[in-house]
Amino acid sequence: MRAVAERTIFLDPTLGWILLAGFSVLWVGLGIYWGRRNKSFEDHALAGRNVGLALGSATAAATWITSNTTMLAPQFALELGVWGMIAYSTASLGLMLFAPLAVRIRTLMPHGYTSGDFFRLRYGRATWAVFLIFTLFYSLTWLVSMAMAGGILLEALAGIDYVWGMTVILGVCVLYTMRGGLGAVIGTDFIQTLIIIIGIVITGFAVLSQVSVGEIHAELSANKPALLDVLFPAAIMAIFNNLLFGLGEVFHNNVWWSRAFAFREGVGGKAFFIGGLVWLPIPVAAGFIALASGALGVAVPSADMVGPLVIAQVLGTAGAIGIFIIVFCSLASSIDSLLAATSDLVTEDIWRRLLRPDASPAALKSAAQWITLALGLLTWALCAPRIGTLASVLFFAGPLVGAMIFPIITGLYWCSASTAGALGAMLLGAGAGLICYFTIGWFVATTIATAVSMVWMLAACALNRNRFDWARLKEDS
Amino acid sequence: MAFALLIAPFPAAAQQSPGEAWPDAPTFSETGPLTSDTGQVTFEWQAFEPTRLTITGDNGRSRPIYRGKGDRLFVSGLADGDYRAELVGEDSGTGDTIMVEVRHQSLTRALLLTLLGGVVFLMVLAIILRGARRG
Repeated sequence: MRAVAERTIFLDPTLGWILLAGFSVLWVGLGIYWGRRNKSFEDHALAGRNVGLALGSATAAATWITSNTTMLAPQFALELGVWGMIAYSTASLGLMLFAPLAVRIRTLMPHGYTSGDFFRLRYGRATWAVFLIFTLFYSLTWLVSMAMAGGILLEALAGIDYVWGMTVILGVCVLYTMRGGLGAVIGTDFIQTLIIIIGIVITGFAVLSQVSVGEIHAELSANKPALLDVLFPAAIMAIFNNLLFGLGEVFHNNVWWSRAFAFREGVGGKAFFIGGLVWLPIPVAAGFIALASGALGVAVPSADMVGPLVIAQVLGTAGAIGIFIIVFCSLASSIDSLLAATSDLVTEDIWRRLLRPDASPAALKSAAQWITLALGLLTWALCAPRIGTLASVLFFAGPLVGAMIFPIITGLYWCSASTAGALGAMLLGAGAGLICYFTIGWFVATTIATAVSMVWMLAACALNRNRFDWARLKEDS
Repeated sequence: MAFALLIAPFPAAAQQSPGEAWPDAPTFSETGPLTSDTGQVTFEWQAFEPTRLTITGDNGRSRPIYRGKGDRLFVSGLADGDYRAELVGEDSGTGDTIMVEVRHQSLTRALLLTLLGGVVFLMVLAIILRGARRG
C-alpha cells in the first residue's frame, strides 16, 4: 500500500522571468527578421505561397502541438486510461487525412486565401455566414483557452502573476505575428517543434529511469483498474468522438487551409502527412507520463496539472525549467497560428469581401496587421478576468466542427454536394450534438453531430439533380 | 528517492490530552455521497494540519491515497462499487468520512456509440480516399 505524498513545483520567479524574457526577445526578433520581405497581403498571409517541405511539416506538427497536447493528453490518460491516451493520439489522423484534401484544395483553388473562400464560392453566402459564426466561435475560444492556459501555467510553474504571464505570452505572439505574418509563424514553429520533441523525449526516458513499465502496470492494476479496462465505457466512447473532433478542427479551420495555400506546389500532401506522423507519438509519450504518476507517488490535486507535476518530480529543477520552456513553446506555436489564420480570415472574408473590395495588396496587409492587434486585445480582455468556465466553452465547439466535416469533404470531391445539404448538415448536426453534449456528455457530442450531419448531407447529395461547376472555385483574387 | 518517501510509514497521530479539544478537525468540503459515472472523483477538504486520506472499497480493502498538507486530491480509474474515504488529521487523529458511489456508464450504449463513430469515420475515409484516387 502506498500513499502519494504531495509535491510542490516551483521555479524561482526570477528564473521564470528570465526564461520568459529570453524567449520573448528570440521570437519577436525572429518575427521582425522574417517579416522584412513581406510587401503584400499574399506575402504576409501566405508566406508568398512558397513554403517548402521541412518548414511545412514542422509547422503542421507544431501548430497541432498545443498546450492541450502537453497538458490535456496527460489528463486524458489519467482520466480515461490507455484508451484515453490512444483517443488523444487519433487527432493525428486529422493532419494525415488533410494531406489529400490539401492537394485537392490547392488544385481547385489556386488563388484561394481562406477556408471562408471555399464556403462562399462552393455553397453561397448563407452557408458562408454560418461557417463564419462556427469557425470564429471555435477560433476565439481556442485562442482564449490557450492564453488563459498560458497565464495559469506560468503562475503554477514559476509564480508569475496570471495577468502578467498571460499578457506577455499573448503580447509576444501578437508582436511577431503582426510583424512577420505567416512566414514568421512557420519559422518559429520549426524551432518550437524541435524544442518540444526533445523535451518530451528526455522526460519519457527520465520517467522510465525511475520506474519500470511493470511497476506502472502493477500500480494501475491494483489501484486504478478502470484505466486498464478495455471496456471502460466513457473511454471507448471518447475514441471516435476525439478522432472526429480532430478531423473537424483541421478540415474546417483556416489555420490549416492557409497552410495548404501557403505550401509550395506539391508540398502540401507530404507536409501534412509527415506532420501527422511527427505528432502521433507526442500524446502517447505525454499520456504515459500521467499513467506513471501513481507509481511515482505524485499526488495530483487537479487532473490538468498531472503533466507538470510528474515532470517536476522526476527531473527536479531541470524538469521545471524544461516544462516551462515546453509549455511556452507549445502555447506560442498555437497562439501565433491562430492569430495569423483568424486575422487573415477576418481580413479576407469580412474586411475585403464585405467592406473594402477595392483595397490594394499593401492596404490589405496593413489591415491584417491591425486586425491581428485587435484580436490580441479582444483575447486579452476576455482572459484578464480569469473566468474559469470560459476555457471550457471550447468543448462546445466539438459538435460545431464535427458538423462541418461532411459539407467540406463532399464539397471538395462531389459535384452533387448542394447548399441545402451543407446548410442543413451544419445546423442539424451542430444542434443534435449540442443536445447530446448536455444530456449524455462531451464524449459523444461530436460523434452524434457528425453522424447527423453525414446522414443529411449524403441524402441531399443523392437527391440533388444539379451539378457544381468546379471552375467557379478558381476565382481570381 | 520517491519510493523511500512513499513507503515511509505514517507518523503516529499525536495523542490528545484529556480535556484538550481540537477545534478544527479536518473535514471534507462536501457532505456526500460523491457520485461518478467515469470512475474519477476529486476530494476537497479543509484542514489546519497535515492529513492522510484512506479509501476503502466494497471488498473491505483499505489503501492510503494521500499524505500531506494539501486540500485537494484527484482520483481516477475506480471500478464500479461503493467506497468509503476517510480523512484523518496527523496531529489530532480526528477527521471525517465521505462515501463515493461509482457506477460507470452503460457499456451497451458505449459500444453502440463507438460503432456509430466507427461507421462515420469509415465513411469519411472512403470519401477522401476514393476522391483522392479519382482526382
